[in-house]
Amino acid sequence: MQRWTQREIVVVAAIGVVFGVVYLAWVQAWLFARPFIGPLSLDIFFGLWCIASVVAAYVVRKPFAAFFAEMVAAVAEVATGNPAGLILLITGAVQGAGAELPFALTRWKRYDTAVLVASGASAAIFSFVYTWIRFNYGALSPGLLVVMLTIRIASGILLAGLLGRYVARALHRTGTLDGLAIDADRRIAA
Amino acid sequence: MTPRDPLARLAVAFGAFVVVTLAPRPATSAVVFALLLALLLGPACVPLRRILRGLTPFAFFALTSAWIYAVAPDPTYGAIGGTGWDAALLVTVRTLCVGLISLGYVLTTPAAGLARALVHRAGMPRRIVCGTLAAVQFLPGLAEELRMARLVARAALPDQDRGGRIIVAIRRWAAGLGPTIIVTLLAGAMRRADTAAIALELRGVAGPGQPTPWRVARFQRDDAAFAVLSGLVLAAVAILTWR
Amino acid sequence: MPPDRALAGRDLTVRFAGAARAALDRIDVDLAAGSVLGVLGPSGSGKSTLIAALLGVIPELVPATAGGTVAWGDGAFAPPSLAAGRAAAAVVQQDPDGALVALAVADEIAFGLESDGLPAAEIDARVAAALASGPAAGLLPDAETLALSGGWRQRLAWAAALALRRPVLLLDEPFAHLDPQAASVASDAIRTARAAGTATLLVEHRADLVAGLADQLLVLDAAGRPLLRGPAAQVLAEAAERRGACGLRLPAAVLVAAALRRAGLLPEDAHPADAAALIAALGPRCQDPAVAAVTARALDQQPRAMATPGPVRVALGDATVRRGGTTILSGVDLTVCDGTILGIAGSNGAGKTTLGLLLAGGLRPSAGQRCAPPGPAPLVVPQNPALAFASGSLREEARRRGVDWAAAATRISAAGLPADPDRNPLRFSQGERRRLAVALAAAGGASRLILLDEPQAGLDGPSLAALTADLLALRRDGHAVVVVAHDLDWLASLADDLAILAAGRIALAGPVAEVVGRILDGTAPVPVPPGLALAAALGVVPLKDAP
Repeated sequence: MQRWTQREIVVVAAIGVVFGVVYLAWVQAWLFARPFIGPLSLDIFFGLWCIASVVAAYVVRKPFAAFFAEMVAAVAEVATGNPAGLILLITGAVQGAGAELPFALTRWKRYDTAVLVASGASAAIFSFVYTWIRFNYGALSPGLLVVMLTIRIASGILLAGLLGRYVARALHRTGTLDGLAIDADRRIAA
Repeated sequence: MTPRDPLARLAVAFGAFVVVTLAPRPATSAVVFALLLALLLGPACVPLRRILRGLTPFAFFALTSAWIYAVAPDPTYGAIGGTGWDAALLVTVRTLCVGLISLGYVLTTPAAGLARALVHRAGMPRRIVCGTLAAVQFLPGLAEELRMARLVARAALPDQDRGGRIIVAIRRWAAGLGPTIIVTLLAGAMRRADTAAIALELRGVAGPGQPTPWRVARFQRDDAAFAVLSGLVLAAVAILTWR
Repeated sequence: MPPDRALAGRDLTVRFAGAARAALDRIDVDLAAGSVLGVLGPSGSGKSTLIAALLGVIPELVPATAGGTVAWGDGAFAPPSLAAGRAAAAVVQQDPDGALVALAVADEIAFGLESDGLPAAEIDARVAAALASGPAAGLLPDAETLALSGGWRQRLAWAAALALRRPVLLLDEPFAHLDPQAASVASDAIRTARAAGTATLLVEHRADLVAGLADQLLVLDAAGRPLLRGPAAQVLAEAAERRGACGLRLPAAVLVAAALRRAGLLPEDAHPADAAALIAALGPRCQDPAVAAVTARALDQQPRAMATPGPVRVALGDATVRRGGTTILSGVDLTVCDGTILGIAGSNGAGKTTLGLLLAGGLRPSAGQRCAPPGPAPLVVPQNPALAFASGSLREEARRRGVDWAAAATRISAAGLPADPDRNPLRFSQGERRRLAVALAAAGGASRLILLDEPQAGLDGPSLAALTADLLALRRDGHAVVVVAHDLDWLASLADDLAILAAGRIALAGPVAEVVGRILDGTAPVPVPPGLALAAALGVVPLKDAP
């Protein structure tokens, strides 16, 4: 396993920082939408809060990139004023670990669409278990729980897995990622 | 008593955070909030204006959440154990208190000092801590780029005055917030990341030798006293206000 | 080996993967202790690559094929290595945005000293010394670097590099983000370091800034090969003889001296590097009308066709802009007509960018009026031109602006850029992006009003000439052009009208000849730029319009 370069460390941290601010804006959007959408709003909005993991892992393709990016995003959110405060560090760790798992299962060798989608879905499942404990989901009806879990996984797949891949590829086309692992795709394609 | 150790204070903040989050009645949060505010305004000499400015997003969140709990309770979010105005009050006070704990920590802890404590005492790699710190520094520049991109997009809006006042205002507000802006901002962040990584390497982030432990805050008697005292106060507040 | 050698490089060569030619082609560098070597060259000549190659940043951090050897101090020649470079040299990077790492002023200065493993007491002493004098003098040790302006961030990067007290200082366009006052502080820092025996290698694209500082000059050509080297005054004179061929922006005095030598009005062996030296060399001939005529031609201050102003494109009446409780602009009256170029100048923080955006409609006045006839939306090319693009490819970008791709491609090619429809606009360099935005505007984008913010920054000689031609073409086609810039010499040669801002108010505005007259009188709140000063001293009446 190759050691992380300093550039990769700063690149992943920067992805985390930028998305930390995006997450904060997304929290405001979610708050605005909550009264209109009702109980399932958290599950619908959930996916975007894991996108940093997917983008970072796809760009540098190193072990723990997904986890590191999500942790940095959480720190950035705490520092810039997320209402949840320090508990976000735990939230970030849970979601980051969830996003990391599928990459770890491929021994950090595969970064195709299937694995990215799995990463978003896995983050959703980890987060569901976590919110179950935190918000006492045991009191809810089983039918509602199934709907919630399904929507949350779909959101993870769409807003983290697929959107993350799209953003990373658009970023790659600007030329600022030259020399990082994401270049491997282009070399194969060429 | 001048507690300087950022790690000890982080532990205290976490403790306060756990107590406030688990407490079933608003009184706990309210008392912790009042004590912490007195501590920040008094011994810590934080200006009231900075606290108010920092609390603004938390206050916004508190109000929207409180309104939701009071009017349209969401059974899936928050084990509040109740609905209506009682739950709304609890969530408001708790959110503000959580906000003040985070804010108080951020305002009284120089980030560079925390970074050095993490490197020299918690044993975290300097490359990772300093790399993250460097990335945090990109934010003001990126915020300015976002502002400028929105002004440029606003100038490029066709038919500036067609539609009603509100429509025009919304279009001007939303100009430049399209999906491509995140790619433009990320590209700016990646360019900075290249520079920062080279700057870190050239200034010896990875050695060859061990870095000097310069101005590293140690866990001293004041920190121990602060931690014990805070623990006792938190316990007392919790016992007195829980039921 | 000379006894006072600080740095020597031999046959330094760099080739990036997939590039058609070498970025740096067999360069030799020799730098003696207590001297300053200036490295000049047009965009893409590999100036910054040279610093990266000497330090071993290439190939250790930036992948490329590298060749050649380096010797630091009295050491032996060896392939460049990061460890050796780091131990011998301190570096100031080009981009202050990414170059700071520690969040607080004292910590920033201490960072490299901690890495060096210096005793804590020594670090304290050096931090205190760096804040007492030099480029960062006056900064508070606990101040947050996040809150500093770009210029102060660059000064701090300087101070952190100087505090390392390395025998060699490598500076990569260190003046790029400094206003004239801060630049003079930085120049003093170079002279102080030089007097203390430090060897300095200074990479710059602006020859006028290097001219007064460097002992020796090395000029690279556009293909990364050595073109000229030797004592500074001689190399500048030689470059002036070749004029366009080196791609440099030369100091006004050097250009005029070369023209005077050619005309036989100055001895062949006179090589003045600045205005004072030139005036001294000319002596009583300063008043000679022949000298004035040659000077006017050399500085491009010849009579030129008057603008034929069309209808008013935008007008401001008593306009005021406030932001977050501070007034940024107040009481501005200004009119821009089609077919003219308006130049806006003023010091940092005077409100130039705000005024430009107000004219273009990106900002609305907090009080007062902005009147513009209905019509297509203006085009803004901001200081960071990347922000003007909102599409992933050139073709999409052209379509977004309502420009036919064939017309756009013609203009893009004419601007010397590859017209590849699938290329991402951000894949161009900073200067190229600016030319790209102008090319798209000229290709018949609907915009009639075009605003450019500091478009000349960072451009080499040929690129600046091409940009100037593009802007004059837009003017000829009847566009209203607004240019915000620091460089008054360039603005005066380009604009029809000038507005000088000071502290959020228009201090002076009017036809360019009138404003320049006031600047030369000393009744305008801006320092006289070197080109205009020289022209005036040699009896040229600047910018006299042809009838």
